[in-house]
Amino acid sequence: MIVRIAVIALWLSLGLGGAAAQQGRHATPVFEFDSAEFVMDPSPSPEGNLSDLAFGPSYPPGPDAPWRHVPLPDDWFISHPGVSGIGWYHMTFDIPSEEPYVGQSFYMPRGSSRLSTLFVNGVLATSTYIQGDARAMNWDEPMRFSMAPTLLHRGQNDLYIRVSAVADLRQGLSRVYLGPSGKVLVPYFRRWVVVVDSLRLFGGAAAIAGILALAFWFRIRTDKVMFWFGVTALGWALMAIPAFGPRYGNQGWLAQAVVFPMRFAYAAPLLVACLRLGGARARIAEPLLWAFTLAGAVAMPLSGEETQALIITTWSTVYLTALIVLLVWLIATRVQGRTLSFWLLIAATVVAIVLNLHDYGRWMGWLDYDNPTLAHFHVPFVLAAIGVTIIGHQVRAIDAVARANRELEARIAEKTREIEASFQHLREAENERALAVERRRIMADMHDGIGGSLLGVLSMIRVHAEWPRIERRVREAMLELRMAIDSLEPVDGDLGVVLGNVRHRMRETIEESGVRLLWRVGEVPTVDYLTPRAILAIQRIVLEALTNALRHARAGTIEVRTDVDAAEGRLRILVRDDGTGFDPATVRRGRGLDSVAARARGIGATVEYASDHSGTSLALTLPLTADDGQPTTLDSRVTAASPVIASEAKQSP
Amino acid sequence: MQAVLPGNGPTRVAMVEDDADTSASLAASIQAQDWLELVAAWRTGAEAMVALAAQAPDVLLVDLGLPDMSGLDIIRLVAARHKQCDILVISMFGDEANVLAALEAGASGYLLKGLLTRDVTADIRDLLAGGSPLSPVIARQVLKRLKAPASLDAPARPAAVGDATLSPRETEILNAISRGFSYAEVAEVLHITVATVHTHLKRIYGKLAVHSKTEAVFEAGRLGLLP
Repeated sequence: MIVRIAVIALWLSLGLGGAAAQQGRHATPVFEFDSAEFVMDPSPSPEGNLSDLAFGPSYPPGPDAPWRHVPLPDDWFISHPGVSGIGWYHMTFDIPSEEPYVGQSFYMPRGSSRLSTLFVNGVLATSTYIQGDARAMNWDEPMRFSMAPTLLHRGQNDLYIRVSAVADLRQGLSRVYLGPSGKVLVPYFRRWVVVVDSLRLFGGAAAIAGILALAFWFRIRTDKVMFWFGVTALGWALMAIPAFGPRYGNQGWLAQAVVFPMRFAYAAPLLVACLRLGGARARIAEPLLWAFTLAGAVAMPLSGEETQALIITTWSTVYLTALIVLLVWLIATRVQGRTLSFWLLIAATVVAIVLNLHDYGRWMGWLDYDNPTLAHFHVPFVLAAIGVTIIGHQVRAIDAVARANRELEARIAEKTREIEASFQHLREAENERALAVERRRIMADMHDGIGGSLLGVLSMIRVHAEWPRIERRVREAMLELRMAIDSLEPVDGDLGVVLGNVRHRMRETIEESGVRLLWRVGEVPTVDYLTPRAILAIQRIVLEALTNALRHARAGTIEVRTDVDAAEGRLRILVRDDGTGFDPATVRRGRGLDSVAARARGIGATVEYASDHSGTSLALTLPLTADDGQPTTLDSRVTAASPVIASEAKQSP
Repeated sequence: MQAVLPGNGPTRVAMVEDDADTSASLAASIQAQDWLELVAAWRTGAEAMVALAAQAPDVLLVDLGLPDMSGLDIIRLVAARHKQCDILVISMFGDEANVLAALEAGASGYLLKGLLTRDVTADIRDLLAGGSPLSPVIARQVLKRLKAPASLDAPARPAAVGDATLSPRETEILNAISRGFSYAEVAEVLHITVATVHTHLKRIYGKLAVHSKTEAVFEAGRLGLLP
């Protein structure tokens, strides 16, 4: 651990020491020229080839010329308004004898002139010719020259800078720095990054984003905001064009034609995009904007340099004002419920206004001449707004697809259910139809077969009326048959119908007996276990009770009633007479009570008898649902038992 | 209905029944009543179809199971051509399928074969007064078929069926009958006369006939077989 700390300490001290050593080696002072002697070149301003301008025979005016002291930077728009010509700056500096001459560089933050030529100690050192004409640009890149050691010498050195400038285009001379490259080039490269690299970066990104946005728009034409984003981004990319290519040579018509677009191409689309994003479709403002832009674009290449400056000033002022107005309008009216892309565009607009104001202030001479051009730094915000918008569209599209899928699935599920329900319905209908067919078949069998035979027997018996017992037996068989058929009828779980059928079939018998029947069958809930067997069982039990009452009890009144105990889930059918009664213990078998109990058990019901001298009652208690584990139909043993009436008849005298 | 009251002359009864015993038994019962006149007793549907128009009976007794055709065809024909004629089905069991089909075809009721201890003419009198004593099963089926479409999933029925849905009073009557109550008991509970119960039943039979014509269309529509 200690070793490690020691190593780190050593490493740090070496680093610091090295830095100190470096500092010591380059202790040469940096000469910063914030003033110079100036004189206008008396000779007429040369026209023609830049190359001639740069390297043609040219000598500084002598000391008798009207040199005067001027501060640097020297913005001709301020110091020589309206002038277009050549000026000379003269600076001197002393190199102490102990300083090394090598590794010296010359640096100007802003190479803002048509042409600057450097003379060091009477020798033409270099020219900004290699960097072209800056007049078209809204930005000026920094300039640097490496000083050949032979150009400098100990003691006083002379530096002349010849500047060919147009005052209206804000040309002139920035501050001038001379010193060790290690020091002078640091601000140079920083500025290069701020002014040139960032412009290239943003310009390239804007070009790509603009193409993407337009491609996106091309697929979805309704997205107008995306279109204007794209056009704006391409406008920005135009701004960066000069940062990509060298600007050699004279100003041709093409160069003149792109001056305006390079400065202002983004402005109109950006304004329109903001308008559209704000949800406004300005019917008057938009055409005006385009007309204004077109006018500038046409006027610019047709104008002279002075007029160009005026156009730049005018158009800059108008666009800036419009941007500020639009921003205020957007924020004032469209703040509510806006998306991230909206706020990014607002941010971009705010930054654009601030930075453009900065550049505008420099253009107007209100700020330091050497300030770098910064307007393009709001481009990332515009690009982010585009990106967020595209992503938002994508997310919404994906969401929409997902939602559509969900809805589709839901609809399919619903359709499936409908189809299943339909199918179920059809199947039930089919079942019912099959049951009906089967029922009809059985009916037909009974009609044509047993029923017909029985009827035939009956009619014969009528003739031979001396066989009353046989007649009664056959009639009972007929009744039994009808009950069996009734049990096949659809009753839809309605016990009332089952009971009603018993009465219907018993009507004649009851009427003939003269017994008063109190029919108190109320509304009963439907039950779900009324299969034909269950129906038959219930009918037989009730029939048994009625028959017993009619035949054995010598009753005057018979009451049939239903009671529902919803809480217990029970339904009670009570058959009560006011007859003579019997002892259940002794006559159980004789009156078919065992078979009644068995039938009741078979459908999960119970039977209770109560009988005394004042009458007899049979209570059949049924469940309301079949889900209590009881069998819902009679088992084979019970159904195999002999029919109620037949067995009862056997016992009757 | 027109011949029930004495003084209008005897009610003319015709019969289509292939079973000789039944036919003879019925004929005897009818002829025993002087308010009834048996004008014809056909053995086959063909005979009946030929002679029906000439006889123009007030009451026609029809067996459904004829050797040469279904009694339903005769019922339909008579219901369409001889509207004044009451049609009664001769049924062995009074079972739902046959009786309901007959009622839908236009019959007014049914007679049970083999009700030996009762005079069948009493039934005819009842039937003429208002229709067959409905069995609970049939009452329930009629109730089910003619009830108003109250359930939510049922699509709107064709307008014509509106004529064939039960009124609340008719529903009450059918409901009571389906639980085994006699017409007299129904009348008492509802505070109406037995005659009114009969009138209601007549109307219900009429609705059943109307209903049967539209039901097929409705069923097809409900199953999505029609647009």
